[in-house]
Amino acid sequence: MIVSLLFFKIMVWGSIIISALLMIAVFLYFLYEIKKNEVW
Amino acid sequence: MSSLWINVLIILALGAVFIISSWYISRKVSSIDEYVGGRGKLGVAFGTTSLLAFWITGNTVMAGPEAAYNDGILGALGYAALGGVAVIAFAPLAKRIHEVVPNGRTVGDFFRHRFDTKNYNLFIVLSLVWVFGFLMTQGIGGGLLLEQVFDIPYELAVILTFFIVIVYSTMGGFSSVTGLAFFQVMLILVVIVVVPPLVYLTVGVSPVYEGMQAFDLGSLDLLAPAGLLLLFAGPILGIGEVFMDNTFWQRAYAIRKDKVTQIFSLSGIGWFFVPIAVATLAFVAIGTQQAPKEVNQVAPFIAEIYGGEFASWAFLIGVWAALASSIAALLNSITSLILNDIYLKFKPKATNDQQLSFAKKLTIAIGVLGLLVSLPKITSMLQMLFFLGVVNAALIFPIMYGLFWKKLNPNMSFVAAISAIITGYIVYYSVGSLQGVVVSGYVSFLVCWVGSMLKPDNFDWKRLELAGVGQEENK
Repeated sequence: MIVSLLFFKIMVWGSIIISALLMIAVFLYFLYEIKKNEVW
Repeated sequence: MSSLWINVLIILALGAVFIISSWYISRKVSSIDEYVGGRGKLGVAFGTTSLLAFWITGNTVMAGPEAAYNDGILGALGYAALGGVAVIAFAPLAKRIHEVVPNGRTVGDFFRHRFDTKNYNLFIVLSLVWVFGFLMTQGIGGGLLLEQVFDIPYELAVILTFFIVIVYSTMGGFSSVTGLAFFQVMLILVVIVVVPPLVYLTVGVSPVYEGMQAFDLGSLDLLAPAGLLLLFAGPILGIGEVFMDNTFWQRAYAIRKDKVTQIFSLSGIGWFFVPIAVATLAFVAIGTQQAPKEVNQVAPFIAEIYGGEFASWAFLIGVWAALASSIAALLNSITSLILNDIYLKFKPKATNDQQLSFAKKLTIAIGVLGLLVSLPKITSMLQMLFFLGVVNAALIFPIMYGLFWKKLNPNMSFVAAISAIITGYIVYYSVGSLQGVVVSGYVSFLVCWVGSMLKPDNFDWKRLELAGVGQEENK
C-alpha cells in the first residue's frame, strides 16, 4: 500500500509543525512557571 | 582552522556553558533529596524537558533518519513508535506511582516493598546491568557519531563528552541535570525545527516524493514486512526499557502530582514527532539519490548539502547536547539507585552530608568507569539495546501488575521474569533479536497472569506508602 503525496506532505510538515509547537509550548510553560515560582 | 578544531571548539564552548550553568544551579542544592530526585517538585517545563532530554539521545537524532533511510516511511514511524508509545504507556503508571508510592526515590523502593527479597535482589541486579549497559551504548554510540560525522577522533570525543558531563552532573546532581535539560532540549528542538524546513523549502516536498516513487517505491509502502516488524516490536522494546529504567521512575517521583498528565502528554508528543521530523531528511536522500558514506550520517549529510556549514554545525550542537543530556541523566540515575538501594542498606543512619558526599564521589566513579568501558568500542548501540531488550520485556508485567493488581503473586512474578528471560534468549539466538523481545514479553504476561489467577495474593497497598520514608530524616 503506497502512501499518497498528501499523506507524505502531512507527515513531513506535520511532524515539523508539531515539534515547533511543542518547543513553543514548553518555553511558554517555562516563562509561566518562572513567573509563578513553580519551576521546581 | 580545520573543521576538526572548529568542531572541538564548539563542544568546548558548549561544555563551558553547561558547567557554568550547573555551578549556578548547584549553589542551592543542599539536601540529598535535591541531588537524587526532588520528590514532587518539578513543573511542566522542566518535567517535560527532563523526560525528552533523556530519550532524545544523540542516537535518536541520528538513528531515526537511519531507520527511515533503510525502511522508508515505516522505518520513521516504527522508530517514533518505539519511544512515543512507551512514554504514553508510562503516563498511567506515573500517576499510579504518585498514588501508591508517595515517598519513593527509585524503582528499587517499589520492588522492595511490593515484592519479596528474591524479586528485589533480581531486579536490582538486572536494573544495574540495564542502566549501565545503556550508559555504555551512549558513550560508544556518541564517540562513533562524533568521529564518523564530525571528524573528531573517537577517543577524544568520548573523553571530552564524559569529562564535561561528569563535571556538571557531579556539581548539582538531579537539579543540574534537569535544569540543564531544559536548555539542551530547546537547542535540540531549534535544530529540528530549523534544519528540515530549510532543506524542504530548497528541494520541495513533491520532487522528493516523486523521486522516492521512481527510485525506491518500497520506501513508500505501508505494508513492507521489515518495517511492520519494527512498528510492532519496537513499542514492546521501548515499553520494557521505560518501565524498568530508574531514570523514568526518578522523574515520575520528581514531577508534581497534578502535572503528571500534562507532562507525559507533552513528552509523548515529542517522543513521537521529533524523530519523524528529523527522519524526513532521509527521504530527501532517497528521493534525490544522494547516498552518504555511512547510513547513520544521512541526516547531517543532507543538512549540509542544502543548508551549508551552518546546518552542519547546528547538527553538531543538537547531537552533542542530546548526548550530554542522556549521559548526565544516566549517571544520576545509577547514582541514586546505588545510594538508595545498596549504600543505605549498609549505612541506614548516614546523615544528609554523608549521603551527599558519597553521591558526588559515586557520580565521578561511575562516570570514569563509563568512560573507560566506552573507549574500546566493544559493541554497537543497536546490538546492545536488542540484547538487553529481552530483559526489559521480561519485567514489563511484574511492574505493571505490581502497581495495579493486588492479586499478583510475588513467586509467580519471579518465575515469570526468569522464564521470560530464558525463553526470550532461546528465541533471540534461534529465530531473531526482535522476536526474542516479543516472546519474552508474552511469556512474562502469561506466567504472571495465569499463575496469579491460580494462586492469587492479596497485597495491602498501604505497605507501599512506607517506601522511602525516613531516608531524608537523618540530618
